[in-house]
Amino acid sequence: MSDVDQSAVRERILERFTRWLDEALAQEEPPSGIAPELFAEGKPTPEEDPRDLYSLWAAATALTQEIKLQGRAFKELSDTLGPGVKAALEAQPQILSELRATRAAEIKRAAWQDILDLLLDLRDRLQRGLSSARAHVAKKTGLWERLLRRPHDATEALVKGYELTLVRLNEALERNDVHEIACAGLLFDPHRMRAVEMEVRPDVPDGTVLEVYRAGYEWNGDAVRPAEVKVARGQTENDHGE
Amino acid sequence: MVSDDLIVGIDLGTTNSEIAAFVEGRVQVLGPGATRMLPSCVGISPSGALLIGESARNQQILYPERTVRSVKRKMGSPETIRLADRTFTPQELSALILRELAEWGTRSLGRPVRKAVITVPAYFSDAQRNATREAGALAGLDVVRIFNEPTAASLAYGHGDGRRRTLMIYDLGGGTFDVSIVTTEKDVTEVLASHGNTQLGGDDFDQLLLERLLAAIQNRHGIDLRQGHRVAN
Repeated sequence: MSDVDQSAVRERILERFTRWLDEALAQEEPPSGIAPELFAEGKPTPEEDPRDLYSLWAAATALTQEIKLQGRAFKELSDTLGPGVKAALEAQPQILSELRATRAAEIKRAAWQDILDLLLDLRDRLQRGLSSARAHVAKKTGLWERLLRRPHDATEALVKGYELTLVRLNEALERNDVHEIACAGLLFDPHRMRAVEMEVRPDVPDGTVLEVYRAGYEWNGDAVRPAEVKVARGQTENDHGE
Repeated sequence: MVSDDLIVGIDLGTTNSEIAAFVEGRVQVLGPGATRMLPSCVGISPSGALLIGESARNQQILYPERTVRSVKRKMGSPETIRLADRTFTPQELSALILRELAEWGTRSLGRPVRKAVITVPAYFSDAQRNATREAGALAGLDVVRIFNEPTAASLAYGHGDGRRRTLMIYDLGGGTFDVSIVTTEKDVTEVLASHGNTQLGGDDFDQLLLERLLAAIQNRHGIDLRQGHRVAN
């Protein structure tokens, strides 16, 4: 290829590159936040039209250099932040998954709490019924009747029925990790018991549970219903409260 | 939403307190249990453990000198409150309740709760509002606004169509009863008047119902359940 041909090809390449650059920039919105006069200042006057070979070559070289610098800066940034960003991106699904699991557990717990309240109320009623029935049987069954081993009457059958139902209910509760809170004779625990009555009793340690008025229950280690108890106080202090 | 953008709303009540946040497009009351209410009660157990909420309320009958309720009534006053061998200001006790609520929020949302709007009765004085703000700061919260309770209620129930309305808002709490007349228009709520009874609430209704039942049982069956009858247990 002659020098003249080479020169013509170079001219054509540069002309096409210049045209492409102008078209590409014309399609883009100018960056926001930059005053319009700054753009006006950047536009070349007819006298300093940069579309000569030297200016274009210098601009292309500067652009290449800028791209190299940007590439290096990006690599440094990537190396610095890489592990953290990667960990964060990897952790995000895990965090979302944990949050969903927490929410699902909350919903499940709320639904189960309703059923549990019903079951515990049923258990309380059955226990009260059993106590009454047992008291009735004990009253009706005197010494002679016990000695003569009278056949079971309806009340005794009722007691048996209560007992069987309670055993079945207790098994179901135990299987679901619901346990009655042990209270009687133990020290008062405000996280699992509610004091509904207090009695001054110097003969027992302060805070001893004297009587359980209503059983409490815990589920998975948390008190779902505190036990209502009567508690001993060795000696009352003066009230300083509110 | 990053943690710092999250602002929770706190109802620091006389009897019970609650925390809520606007998440996933709706207001959600946060916290454990079915009611998600924290009794506004603070106590110290005989072993020296700090009790906040239900555990404190559970010991109130047993250790009244170690338990305090209705701290809100004392907010803004120079009064101090003695619990066991320690003395607290009302702000400090309220801060314990606020901190517990913030922990509820953090656990429910899975991110730290740092900013809060706290509601107060419309009739609260500047001193009472400042005390509430101070309690929030003591709890480690950035209290971005102290909001009138009736204003919060009007925003919750009347927000939307932008029309001007004059409303009566009543707040029947456990220990107090407040009534406010407000006008709302677009996002602006103006409290025209507010008044209340700080010694009247749902607890008083419960007590009256109980007395009525006791009297009815005594009249019909001749049994006085106040005298420690087994059934009353």
